[in-house]
Amino acid sequence: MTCNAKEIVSHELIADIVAEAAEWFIRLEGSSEADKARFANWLTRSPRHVEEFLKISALSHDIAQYTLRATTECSSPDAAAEPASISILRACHS
Amino acid sequence: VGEITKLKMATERQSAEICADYGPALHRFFSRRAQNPSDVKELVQEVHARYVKTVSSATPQNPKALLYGIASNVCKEFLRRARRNPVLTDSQIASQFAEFPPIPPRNDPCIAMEARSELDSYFRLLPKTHRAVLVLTRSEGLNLAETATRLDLSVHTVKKYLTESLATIRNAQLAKEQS
Repeated sequence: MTCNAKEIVSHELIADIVAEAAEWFIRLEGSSEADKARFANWLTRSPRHVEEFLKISALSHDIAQYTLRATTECSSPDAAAEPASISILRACHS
Repeated sequence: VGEITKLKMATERQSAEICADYGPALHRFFSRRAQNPSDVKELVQEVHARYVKTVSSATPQNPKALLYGIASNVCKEFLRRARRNPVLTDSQIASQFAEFPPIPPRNDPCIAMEARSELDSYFRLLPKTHRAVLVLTRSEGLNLAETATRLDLSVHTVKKYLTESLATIRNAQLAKEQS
């Protein structure tokens, strides 16, 4: 296996873990006991699972802060600097 | 000075004998209360150390009672520490994660300007409806059902879009870290 092939496999694996971590993060909102047990099983399978779950958790927190801040700055007349979330938010409320 | 040294040596010898005599009993005493063998060993040593320190300043009338009194105190302190810092099982940690997903502490309560601009660029990678789902759930605090109603989507689709959005942004972060 060449170095590039190894890198591709590794990237694919990490992308899978990221997808699983994101799925768990969302699934845990209102999860059942059975879900929690399955989550525990997934979490303890690899330290990388723990790491990615923490990253997704932090990312969700950052997005909340970013979108909240963007919403409060919505009244800014500087339309050119308007964050991407604002136009979407405006569309949601229209 | 010679007498004092002699007395001190006798006390130390006596302490060592007492500790040796009651060592196995102390070991059993702590084994019933601490699960980890290394904790048991440390607790027995702690009792010995405190006993030696105590008898070096005053000769005990009842060495055995003193030794067990110290052991009782050491044990109480150990159990108090154990209650304060419980060892969690994997499933308990997972349950805690599930109920309170940890958020790494940040020095600045606001996201730094650079991070915000980075997030803005990642946000633009997402399709419009994905962005709307993120804004409504993360910023406005709508639950999945409310978001689904607002955007005229199914709850399943909202979950799917949220998962895809988080994964897309995280993968973009990883790609940037590796470049």
